[in-house]
Amino acid sequence: MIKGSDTVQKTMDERELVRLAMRGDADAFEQLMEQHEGRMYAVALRMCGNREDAQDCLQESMLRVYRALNSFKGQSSFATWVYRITMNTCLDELRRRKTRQASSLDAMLDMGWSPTDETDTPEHHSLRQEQRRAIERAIADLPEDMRAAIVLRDIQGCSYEEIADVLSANVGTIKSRISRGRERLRNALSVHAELFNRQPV
Amino acid sequence: MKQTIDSCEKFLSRLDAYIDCEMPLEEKEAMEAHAQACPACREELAKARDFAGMMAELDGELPVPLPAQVAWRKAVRAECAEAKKPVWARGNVTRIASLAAVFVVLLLGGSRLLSDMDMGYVGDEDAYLYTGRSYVNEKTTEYASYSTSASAPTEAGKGSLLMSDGAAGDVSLLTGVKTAGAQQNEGLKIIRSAEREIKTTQYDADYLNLTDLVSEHDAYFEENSVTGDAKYGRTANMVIRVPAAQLDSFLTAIDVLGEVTYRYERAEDVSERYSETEARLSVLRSQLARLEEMVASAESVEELILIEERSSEIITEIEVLEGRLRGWDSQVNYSRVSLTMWEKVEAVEPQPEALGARMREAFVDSVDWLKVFGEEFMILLSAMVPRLLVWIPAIVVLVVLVRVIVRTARKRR
Repeated sequence: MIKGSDTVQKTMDERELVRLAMRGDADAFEQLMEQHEGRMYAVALRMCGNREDAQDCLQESMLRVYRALNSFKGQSSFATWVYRITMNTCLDELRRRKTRQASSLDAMLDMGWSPTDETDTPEHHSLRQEQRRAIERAIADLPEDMRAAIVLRDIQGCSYEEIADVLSANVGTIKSRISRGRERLRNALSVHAELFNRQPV
Repeated sequence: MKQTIDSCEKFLSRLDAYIDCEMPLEEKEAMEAHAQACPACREELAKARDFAGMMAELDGELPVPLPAQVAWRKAVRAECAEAKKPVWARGNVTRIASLAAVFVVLLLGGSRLLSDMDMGYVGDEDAYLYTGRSYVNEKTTEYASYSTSASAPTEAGKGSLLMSDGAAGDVSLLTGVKTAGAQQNEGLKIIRSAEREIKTTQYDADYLNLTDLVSEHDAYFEENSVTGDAKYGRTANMVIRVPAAQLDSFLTAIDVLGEVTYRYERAEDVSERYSETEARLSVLRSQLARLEEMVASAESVEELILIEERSSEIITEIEVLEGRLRGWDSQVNYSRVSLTMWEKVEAVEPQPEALGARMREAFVDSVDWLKVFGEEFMILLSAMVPRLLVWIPAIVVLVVLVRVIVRTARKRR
């Protein structure tokens, strides 16, 4: 994902849009953020665990990005910078609601979105739905720091270095968070062995 | 750095890095070689790949819900618009400025209202068209009709205002209003209202009669308050809403209730404004319907935002206009009668008192005066004491001095 600004042309467009948005051009800002919107929302959804909070976090993140445009100096790629802001917003939100139940099971089940695939048989489709729910629940049960790393790595496909950048931690820490997170996920999912065709050892 | 995968533990510890493509090519090849040779590790690798695949496709094409898309765009645009305003036009400053403006308007409006007081009536927004009035004088039973406002001299006859200093003689002058009442049957929207002031000596009986009248005419009290007491007379202030069709008979009944000291009636024709508002409403409703159709075919978020904004503007306007129509309907269907009923109490003449009582009263008065005098004198004394402490020695010295001088003068003689 963060390779989104690979080509020189794209980077130039991006810089121009950032420059315009900094002057208060809302159209430019929207154009700039359009390509990041989907990933930002996905991160927020996985971190928060429900759609309402994800929507709030997306909005708050967008505002933070907009307000902080002046301070974007290009040390990292724009995308990395945007995901760092999104992740921080989500972590703030999670901290804010610490007193509440981390995520309600119903909300998790409710958010189920499955890409439609015409070739799917109904049985296969419902099996996949079950698998998804099991995974979503397992992710939601992870501790925040592991969840952040897993979401960025396994769902968003970021490199270790990018994750370290986004989460302001060193690569070693990220590595260990990812492997510990995956272990937890595997353990959590082994309860639902019937859903996954390979039997856990 | 040459990496070798010589054990299953080593393989498993590097599995995450392998899956994540976070290892040098040589190590990668070594991992693959080990997996070829070891079925258990091959199984682990396949599981890890499956897992990675499931995770990767979890949010593969996750769409951002439309409300979320709209929400952040609106928020950013609001922030953007706020930042573009000059400093003095932001937030609190605007609020203070608008408050100040309202204050100035109220001030000007208030003074205008005071100077217009003798015009007798000030209506709402565009109802400043004062429609002329009639003044009735009981003694001469002549009346003068004139337009007080140049803005609508031709409107005379749409409304009429009647005042009288007494009870009788001017009922026939209500014809203008009566005509207006008749026109209502032809679908005109006419708001009729009346005011009465009634003086009564039998307050309780008349009050009961009045409540009977109210229920007989299917009317109701909008306001009802009583002040004063039976000794010095009570005053009831009431606002009664009477079905328009019953207004005339209700007023006639009230007029015989007691002595009428003030009479005012008014009929305001809102037909034109009513039908204009209705027309505007139907235009707005069809606009709203078209916008709702457009939502289905909208292609971009920007379009949706625009449609949503416009729709909510229209809905607000529709609600305001509907409220206005409802207000007019209520005023047209139920006329407002403001009634003040006050009790006239006969003044009781004091009886002349007996001689003994008068003497006793005079004596008590005199004693009272003495008491007051004594108290005042004591106060005066106590106020003087400290001053006398200074003045008495001074006077003694002066007197002695004078005597000494007088004596020496005599001796010399």
